[in-house]
Amino acid sequence: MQYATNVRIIRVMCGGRVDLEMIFSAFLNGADGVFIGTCLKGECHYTSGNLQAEARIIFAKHILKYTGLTEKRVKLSMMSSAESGKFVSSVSDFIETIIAEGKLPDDANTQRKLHAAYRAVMGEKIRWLAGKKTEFETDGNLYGEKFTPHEINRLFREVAQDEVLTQEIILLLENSPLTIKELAEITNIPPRRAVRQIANMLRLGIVRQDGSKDNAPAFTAGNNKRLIEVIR
Amino acid sequence: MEETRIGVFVCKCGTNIAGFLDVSDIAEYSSTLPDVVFTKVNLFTCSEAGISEIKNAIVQHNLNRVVVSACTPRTHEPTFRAACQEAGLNPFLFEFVNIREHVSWVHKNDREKGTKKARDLIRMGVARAALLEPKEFIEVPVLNEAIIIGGGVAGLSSAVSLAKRGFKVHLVERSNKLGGRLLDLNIIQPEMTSAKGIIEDILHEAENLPLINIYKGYKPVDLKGCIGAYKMIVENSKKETKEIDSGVIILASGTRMLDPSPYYGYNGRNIITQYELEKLLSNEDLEINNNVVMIQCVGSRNSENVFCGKICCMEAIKNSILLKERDDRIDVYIIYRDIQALGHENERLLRKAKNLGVRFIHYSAEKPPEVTKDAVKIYSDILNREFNIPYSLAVLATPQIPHSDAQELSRILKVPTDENNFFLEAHMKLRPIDFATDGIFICGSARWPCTVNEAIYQAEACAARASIPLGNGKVKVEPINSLLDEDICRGCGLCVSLCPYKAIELVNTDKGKKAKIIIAACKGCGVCGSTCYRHAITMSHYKDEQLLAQIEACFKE
Ligand code: SF4
Ligand code: SF4
Ligand code: SF4
Repeated sequence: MQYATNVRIIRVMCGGRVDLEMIFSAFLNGADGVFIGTCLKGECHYTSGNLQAEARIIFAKHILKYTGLTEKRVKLSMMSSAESGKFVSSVSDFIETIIAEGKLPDDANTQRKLHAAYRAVMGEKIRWLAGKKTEFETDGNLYGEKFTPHEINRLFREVAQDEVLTQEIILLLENSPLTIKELAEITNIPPRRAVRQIANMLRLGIVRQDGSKDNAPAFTAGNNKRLIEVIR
Repeated sequence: MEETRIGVFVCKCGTNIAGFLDVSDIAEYSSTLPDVVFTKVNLFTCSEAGISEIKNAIVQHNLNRVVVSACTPRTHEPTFRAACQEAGLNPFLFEFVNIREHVSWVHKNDREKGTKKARDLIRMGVARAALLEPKEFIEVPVLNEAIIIGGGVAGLSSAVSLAKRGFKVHLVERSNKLGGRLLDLNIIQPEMTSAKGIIEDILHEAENLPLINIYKGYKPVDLKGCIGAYKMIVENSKKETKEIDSGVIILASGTRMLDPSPYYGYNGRNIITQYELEKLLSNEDLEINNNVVMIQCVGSRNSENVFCGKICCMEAIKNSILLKERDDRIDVYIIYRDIQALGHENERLLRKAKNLGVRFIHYSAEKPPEVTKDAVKIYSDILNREFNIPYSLAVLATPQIPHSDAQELSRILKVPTDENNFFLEAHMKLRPIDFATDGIFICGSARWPCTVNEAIYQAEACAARASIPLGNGKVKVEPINSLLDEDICRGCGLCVSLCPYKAIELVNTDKGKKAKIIIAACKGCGVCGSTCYRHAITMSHYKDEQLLAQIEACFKE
């Protein structure tokens, strides 16, 4: 039972203890991939912690994709503590995938996006939704509407994109006022999307107009106390 | 604040670690890490010598954190924690780094990279150790009564055993009759004793012990609480409920028999199951003409029930012997895939059956036998030829399978099952009759098909194990639990609904609704902390800062 030496192991009580913060903190610190091992479905030592881990990983994957990194950089694998063979093969596959993907790019663009991702997962919305997944699937939402896995996936993708983009814009605007065109260019999103995003953010008071550049309004970060108060 | 003084002990484990990693390099590197003031290589850290080296170093070097880089906390954490405590250091200021299972054993061919990995893991462990906080084990009182679920041989044996020790027992049996499967069985191998004799003795004892309360026709529908103070609601078919308090629970809910009707033309007359053959054999005047053909692994070890029925081989062998002894002219065939005859006593029975003339024919899963109206057609892959065996009785070895409501019970008790719906113990070898949940134990076939003897051993073991908290009247639980910052909590209730152990409740305070942790019920899984959108909860001993420090240290060579 041998495998490659690339992984560094951190012990937690349960997959359910793995906070999205830890995953993105690992990437920010330089990890090329994050592997989470949990118990099998229905066999969780802590009954259902693995399902919570699973919900968070859906977010992590959408976020990675959105930041331009591949979702393959995070992997959740379910196995019983008696299945050492499965652990080895799962970890080995993961190591191969990561080696094929290469090192995490450390250009400013990726780092900024990862930073935005970190802030996004520290924020309330993603955490709240991740925690609600199992309930949405079994009991439904406030109105008793149950979600299919497909619907959950779509919802999580949209929220992930929206939250990371919001945080990325804030990060950029904390540095210097920018116009919508500039923002769209830097963040690599269609200008229409940027307009919509800024309009929303203006409405929420997260950004405010601050002068203009080349006849276009420029924006700067507003009072984001509420949004970032929980961010360490 | 007191200066952080960390001691790092690097174990060689004989050659288990030192044979594959450069231990002196690792130790030397460890001594350069922040806050590390003492490093020592041990031949065997867990030996007397190793333990006293730890204790001496704590005293002589005034250590206030100890990191042992050796093997797995699963087996040795208690040992090292105790060593710290004996030297006056709080046991929770100890950190375990695993460089054996996680490094030397799995990277035997790469000394250099393995050594580097060990260095990294120790650096991470040291970073975490620096942030550890002293903790005290939590003591909770234990009500000295037990609930036992299941009135078969396992449940009854535990009940008798506990009641004889002076503990009150609440025995909950779903049917209206105690005794379980043994009531239908005939002779129990390998001692060849009468099943009725065994169960009647136990029943007689159970019914005459005043400490045993029996709830017939009831099954659990809800459970609250934790070790020391469980509160179970049981319900009967009339939906009448009763509430039972207990300190511990023993699960002995058994199994049911697989429905044989889809297999080999089962008809209950001349094509029957081994289980039904038991009843026939207990009838003295049973007439069997000739040729009994027993087919093994019926409905088991297939895609539906991947597991082995485990007891059916010996049941067939036993019944073949009984048939032969009853009338030597009966030809008995056992058509098998593999024979499960563990232990010398069972081997002896197997040999005896062979000597009595029972014939064994092997078949492979790809070519199962065919049962026609009057013959069993079977291809022996060993002899490479087909047999056509006429039969007057065909006997199918169908397995015991979990009860259809096993999942429901698992949800109510919050204990896991495996992929086959058998209940899953905490650790196959180290904690075979415990659940991961403190105070709930498991015995008998609900855990895995077992023989009557095994069921009784396990039941006795459960009773012995359960007696520890019952006798002490209190238990120590690891202080790994959630910590709430009430000021940050908004009382949304998300954590309450997600906690798998119902260890959080919402309470009204003067600052509005707030979460409240029931420390004794919390198992420390961390779900609540990693979910709370307000970051109001963290886990003691696995604090966010501690884990984040480990992550950060991982990349800080
Ligand atoms: S402490 Fe663990 S690694 Fe060291 S000798 Fe003992 S068993 Fe081996
Ligand atoms: S999830 Fe957080 S905010 Fe909500 S009740 Fe629990 S601790 Fe309070
Ligand atoms: S850590 Fe939280 S979720 Fe887990 S058992 Fe304790 S209170 Fe419940």
